[in-house]
Amino acid sequence: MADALSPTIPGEAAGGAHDERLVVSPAMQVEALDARFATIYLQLDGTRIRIPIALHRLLLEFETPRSVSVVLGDGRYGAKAGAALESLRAKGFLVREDATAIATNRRLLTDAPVRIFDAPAQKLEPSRSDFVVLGVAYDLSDRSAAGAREAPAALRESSLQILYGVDRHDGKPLGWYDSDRRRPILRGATISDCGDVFVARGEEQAALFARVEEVLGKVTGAGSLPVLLGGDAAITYPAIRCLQGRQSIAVIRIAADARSRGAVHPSFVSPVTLPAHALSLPGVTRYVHLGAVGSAAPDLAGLAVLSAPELREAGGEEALARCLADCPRVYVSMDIRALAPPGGRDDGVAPSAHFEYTELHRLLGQIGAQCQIVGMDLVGCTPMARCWGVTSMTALHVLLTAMSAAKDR
Amino acid sequence: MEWRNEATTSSGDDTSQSLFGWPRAEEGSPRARIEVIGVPSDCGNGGASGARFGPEAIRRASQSFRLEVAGVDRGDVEGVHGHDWAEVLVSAQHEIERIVEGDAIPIVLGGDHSISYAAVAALRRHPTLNIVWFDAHTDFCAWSGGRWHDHKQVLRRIAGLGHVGRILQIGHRGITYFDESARSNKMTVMSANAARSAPLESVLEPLPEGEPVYISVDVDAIDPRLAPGTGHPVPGGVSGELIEQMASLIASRRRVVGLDVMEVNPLLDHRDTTSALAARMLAAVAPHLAPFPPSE
Repeated sequence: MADALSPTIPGEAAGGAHDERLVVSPAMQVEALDARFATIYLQLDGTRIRIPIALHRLLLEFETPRSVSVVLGDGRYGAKAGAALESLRAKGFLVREDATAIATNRRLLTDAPVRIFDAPAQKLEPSRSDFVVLGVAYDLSDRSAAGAREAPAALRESSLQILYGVDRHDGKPLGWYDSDRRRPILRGATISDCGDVFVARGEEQAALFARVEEVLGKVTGAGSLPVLLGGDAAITYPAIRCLQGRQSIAVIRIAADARSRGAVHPSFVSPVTLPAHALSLPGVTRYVHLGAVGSAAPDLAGLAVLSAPELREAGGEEALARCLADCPRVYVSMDIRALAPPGGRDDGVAPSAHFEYTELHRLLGQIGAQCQIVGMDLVGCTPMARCWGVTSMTALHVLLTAMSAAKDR
Repeated sequence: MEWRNEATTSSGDDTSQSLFGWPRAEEGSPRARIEVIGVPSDCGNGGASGARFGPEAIRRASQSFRLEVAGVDRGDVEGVHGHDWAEVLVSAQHEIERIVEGDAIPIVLGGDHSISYAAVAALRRHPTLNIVWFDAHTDFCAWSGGRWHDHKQVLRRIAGLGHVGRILQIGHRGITYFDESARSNKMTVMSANAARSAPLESVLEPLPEGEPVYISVDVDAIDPRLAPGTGHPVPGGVSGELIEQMASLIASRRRVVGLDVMEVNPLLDHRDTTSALAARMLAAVAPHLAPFPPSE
């Protein structure tokens, strides 16, 4: 058994505080086990390693809390056993006996079962793609967006009906064709998908958002344009926090009214507090909310609100142009609930407080023509709500339209 | 809710509802000017099951309409789930041929859109048959040329039939792989945007007077916010009223020799709004079908 770990040098167990009592993480699970190796993983964050069976047996010595010095004291596990245990501890498989929480912040990303439009995967490194997609499965800041955490995976699944393709001769992306505008879109534009930011259920919002920011900082470092799949509207915040540090930006949120039940703690980012949080960032010059009737903070400096009927009226487009006049760079957040839900009661003829798809399509084109879109997100999609097939395909059309507005200028 | 396929053939039981409450056809019963046949299959839809329940849902939704025009409901094509798809298509074509041979106008209830091929093929007695195809898609994907096609290929196969003349496609939209508006020199595409803005009568221009017309309505031509119960929705569609108006105008000014409604999927619907729109469209168009004499 000692041979499997190292040559035996009794009494020379390396490592840190050997008197600490350690225990196997409650999140540790065995995936496979044979005579030579064990594949073990942490259930919460998916960390997975393959270790020699001898080390696995050593790990199981800590099923009840014990100190390293006691376990290694007789030297039967060899000289490298201490270092091996330190490694297991660093990865989270061994934790202190008195640890009150399972450490889950070691991992930044989780793989997506399928990638958006079946585009290539993106590693956690500066992307060379024009667009880099990141899912943020978080829906805890908006009561009405319950289930939006499922949207990144569900949207990716639906996106397989509109595949990303590459020309077999020149290797350039084929893009798509927008039948409504009668023009090719995104021809030559490369897309890659990072997967999802790891979300530890129950952790503080700030911890998750720090991870989002860290991932975006890495993958967009070479100039790739971030496309976030929410999640709820709060996921906008870490994206704009990351981007405004490079150049000043305006934020455009396209969404119906932000409603809230009860007070929102000022430090907590929600659709209601998002304008104030965004405008408190030094690089955010303006926050334009399109599609809302009013605002929870109408006197907030830098905030402009235009409703769908206002934009629909004569002069609406000029009003938007004035709002964006001094905003050369914008981040666009699109809440799918800016559109009326499918199967609704209105007849599609009477003027609506929601945008029509064709209006949103045109609006995104106007934004892209006037401003440089530096990032975007798609939020508020809830796969368990009625008519998901309609919502998802509409959302994907909106997303591609916005990407085209950013790239096909 | 439990979904059951209760519609029956003319030789089966008659416990289910018929379209508009029209009488069920029975052996030896008088023929009618309009005869209904259901094809409860979604075998030609590779993406979403459920259009097999379309005929039942449309018939159920039609019960709130009582029409002056007389029709007969022949039930559903038999054996849809007991045979391979190519055989079902042949069976459907034979059933529709029986209707046509009796000088009646077939109304076909789908089912997925691949079924429309059977109806158009059954109308080969007309030397030049023009097609009006309401759909969000052009349905012109590559077809291998075998006995089988799916609902994305069906119009390409139909366009290859010798008796098919002009094709007017109405409602195309959305993000596709390439420009689909010029797939065939037989076909004129009127996009959803164009349909909304063009004068209603412009739908008659590609359809010469005196030549027979077959109208096929894929319910996904309607905006999916209004008609969500369909397998391949595309945002930005036209209203159900506009399709009603266009189809009614065509039926009143051209000799329509057949009509279908396809891709109603009750499993994806919300409060039966889609099947209700389909039934309403049929109720609007059916009265315009009968005035023309048969077999001109």
